[in-house]
Amino acid sequence: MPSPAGITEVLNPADLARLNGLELLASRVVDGLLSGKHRSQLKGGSAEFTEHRGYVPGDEVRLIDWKVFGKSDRYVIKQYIEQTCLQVIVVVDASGSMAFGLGTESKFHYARSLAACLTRLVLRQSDSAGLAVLENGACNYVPPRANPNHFQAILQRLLDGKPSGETSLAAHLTELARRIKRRGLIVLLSDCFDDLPALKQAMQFLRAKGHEIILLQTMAPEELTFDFGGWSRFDCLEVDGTHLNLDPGLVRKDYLENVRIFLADLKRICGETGCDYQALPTNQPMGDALAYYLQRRGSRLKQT
Amino acid sequence: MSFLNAAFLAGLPLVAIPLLIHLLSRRQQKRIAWGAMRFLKEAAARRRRLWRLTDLLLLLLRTAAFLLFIGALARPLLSASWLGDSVPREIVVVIDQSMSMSRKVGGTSLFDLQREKAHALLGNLKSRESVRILLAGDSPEWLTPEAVQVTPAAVRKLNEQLDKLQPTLGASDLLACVRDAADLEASKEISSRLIVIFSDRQRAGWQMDERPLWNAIQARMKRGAVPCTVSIEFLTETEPDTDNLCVNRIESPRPFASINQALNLTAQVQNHGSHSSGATLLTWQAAGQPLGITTIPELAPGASTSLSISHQFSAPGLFDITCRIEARDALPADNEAHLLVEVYKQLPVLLVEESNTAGPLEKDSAFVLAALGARKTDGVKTDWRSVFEATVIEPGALAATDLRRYRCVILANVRRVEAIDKLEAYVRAGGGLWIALGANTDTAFFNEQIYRGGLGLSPLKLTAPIGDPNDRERFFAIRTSLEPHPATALLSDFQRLDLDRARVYRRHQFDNLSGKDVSAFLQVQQGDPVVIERNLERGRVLVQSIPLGVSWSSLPLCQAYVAMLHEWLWYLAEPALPKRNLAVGESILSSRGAGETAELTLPDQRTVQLEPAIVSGTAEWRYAGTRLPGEYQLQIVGKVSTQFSVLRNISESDLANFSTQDLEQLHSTDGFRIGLDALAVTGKALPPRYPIEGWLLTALALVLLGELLLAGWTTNRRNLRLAPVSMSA
Repeated sequence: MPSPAGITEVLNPADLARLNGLELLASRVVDGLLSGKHRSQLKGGSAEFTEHRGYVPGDEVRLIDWKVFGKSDRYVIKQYIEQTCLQVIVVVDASGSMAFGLGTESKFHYARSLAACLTRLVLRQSDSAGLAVLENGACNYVPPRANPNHFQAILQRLLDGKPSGETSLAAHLTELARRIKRRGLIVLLSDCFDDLPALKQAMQFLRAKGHEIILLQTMAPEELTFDFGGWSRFDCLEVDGTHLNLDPGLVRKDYLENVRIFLADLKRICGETGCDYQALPTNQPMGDALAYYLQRRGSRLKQT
Repeated sequence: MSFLNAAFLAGLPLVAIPLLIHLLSRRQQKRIAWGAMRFLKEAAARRRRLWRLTDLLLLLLRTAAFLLFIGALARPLLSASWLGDSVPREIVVVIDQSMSMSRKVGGTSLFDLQREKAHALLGNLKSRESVRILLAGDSPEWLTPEAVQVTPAAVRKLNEQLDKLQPTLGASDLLACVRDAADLEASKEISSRLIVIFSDRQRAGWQMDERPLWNAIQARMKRGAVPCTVSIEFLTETEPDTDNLCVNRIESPRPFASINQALNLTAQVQNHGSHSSGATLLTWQAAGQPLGITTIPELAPGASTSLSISHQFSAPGLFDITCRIEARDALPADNEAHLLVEVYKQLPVLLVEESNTAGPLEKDSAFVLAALGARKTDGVKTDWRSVFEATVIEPGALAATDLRRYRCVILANVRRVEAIDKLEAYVRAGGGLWIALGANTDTAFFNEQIYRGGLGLSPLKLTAPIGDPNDRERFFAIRTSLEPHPATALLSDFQRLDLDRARVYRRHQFDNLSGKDVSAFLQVQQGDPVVIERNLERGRVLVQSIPLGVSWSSLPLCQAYVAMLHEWLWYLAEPALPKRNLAVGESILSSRGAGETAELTLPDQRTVQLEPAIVSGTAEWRYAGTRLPGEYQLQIVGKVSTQFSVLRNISESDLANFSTQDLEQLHSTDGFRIGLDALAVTGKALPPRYPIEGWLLTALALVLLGELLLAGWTTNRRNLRLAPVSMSA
């Protein structure tokens, strides 16, 4: 069970407070039988009334709407959409690149806080939350549960995460897709410094399986400005021993162009695969950024 | 490469500064743990070549800037051979104009052969070479005052000048030519000097036996501004004929004569050849008129003989006495010799005597006048048989007398002379002074005014007289000095003259310790001087311790007296008389009361304009460039021309060729090449060296400009204002 210090390390109460009243909604109907915030494709049960239809022998008598019989002297039954439990898997990229942070907290810490907030939110709205931490080529998986006490396990896993090594997002997402039986919501917290075509393929695979994907991309402000001066040695955080000695000023233009192209490609892939994309640079207050996103998402979903 | 300021090369280690800064900046690089390596790798891969090249170029430019700056401060000199330049030489062509070059070999004179070779050499010179021409004579003379850059027009002009040259009667000091050529200043463009001498194989002129001279010449060649090589090219394959009978010179007791006075002329004839010469004739002429013929006997190799003839001149004037050997030999030019004799009708002499001397026979002047052959005619006019016409005055009139009219002044037994300064000035200007002491002589005055501590007219001072003029039993015998002297040569002939019979009863004594190296004409048998000589600038003084009369001696009664008087008057008058027969290098001097520009014609027919200088109120024309033997004609405007003769150097008549030892010595002398084609001699040539600091500074400016531009471009690129990437864009 994580210590109180550990909890506050990961979960800022101010950020949590910021998320009060917000909910993480799935845009698609979900599977599941438990009562939650999300619609199930399965009709019947004590779910929300949708329509009447004529009684046919074999229907349950309890479903007969007697008010309508009293008015119309016809036997009709009520049909309902049942509200089931949303399964949310938060995938946190703990590759070496996520360890970067100069002027702000590291991307991993940022993503970790995001993950904590999101899972807390999901559990609070009686949905089930799970976690996958992709670390050093391995996937540390916490199966989704709707039990509020499950948050401890998720927190512990987040605390144990140490970003290092290389991790293939695409491979892990594909693996996750095979593991998860129920359709649900995959929230990917990563800088996505990965092979984009492979990532696209993985995302398409997940979408084909009926999952919804939210990509919350974190990047450090230094990675977006590359405002370094003087001859420097850049040590790779993912591969030990890899470094580059260069004058940042001389490569800055090309570097920024590369980043620009990468982000554009990523957004295009998200658009093509129907994934929801949100950029969360680490210099933005996490709570505000997440709250803003959830509000916007909720508004958008309610309109459809 | 050499450097003018090599000390600055000590700063070369500073060239490493840019490299050190480059390395240190690398070591001080920041380390950044970076996540987005993939984007950086792509960017670095794309730009690596460019920024590595830029980096390296900046390092090279900065290093080059230091190197060029230090190099420019050190002021390097780059050899022309590095720049692909050829080695320009200066060629000094020595043209031997000596008499021996007039010999003919196979119908062509050696001088013409030399000229042909000089033409060919000039034609083969390269355009980057320069040439000078030096005329070899008794002293070298440059035909070209400055070095001439070889161009077709310049070569043509030099050839024209060479065509005008002819051999002279002079000798050639070829070693002096080598010395002068080696001592030349060198322009920056030339790297070596080649001295070309065309030799007729004659040994004379090379001073082969003077080893110290050769060593000195070699030292000068080594010290020269540029490396020097001497190329001696022989004009003929075989040794030319060396048989040569020569008239070395014509001599006479003096080159002056008086009318109807016999002058003895002696020709010295020598066989300079290596074979005996047969008997032949020597013909004499005076001013083109035959004087006589004498016979030259057979002479062994090297032997000489003197042949004399006597002649009386019947008219005054300047006479060119020539004698010629009537024989053919290898060198006809020296078969003839000349002597200019100036014949005078009269030469005025001033005799100063006190008139209070008793009795005409007791007057010294009487004896002098008698010796000079003065005799009165018509009781008034005086005829002179001697060329010396004496005017007698009293000492008091001396101050007012213009002494320039007289060739000689005789002070005969004068007590005091007030015009001592005037006399001294007269002597210094070339006049002759004969002080004959006697009973009237004031010893104290003499010592104080005439001796004047050795700075005056007398070289010795007087002490007390010795002897008794009345005691005729006791006397001093006199003789000429044991040192031969031209003024006493005749007096020494005791067979013809009776000087040994002269008796001196009383004489003044000279203090021998009051002067050094005094020339004595006459001495008593014991050696004390009786007549002493002093040369004072151009003039001469004789001081005689006995009077010219018979009061103290019997000298005037001797036959020798007349000869003595004439010989010594000639001797005293000679400095003021024009010197017509000169040695090579001796100045021509002509004086007249007044005059304008004169024109002097040299033996090679060149003319020189001479401006007169006024010396003591007299116009003088002087010419010192008598390097050519032969006849010089001086024409003063409005006057009759006058003649001078510069005598030959007799060593040039020795036609002996280089011996085997001589040739070995020449071959072994450093810097000398014998017998090769002159232009094929390369010698030790130093290619010219050019200072290149100007180029280095220009390169430095370009390097700094390049560094500035490249560094600026790099900084500009480094500090580009680029908008950060927006994740939400």
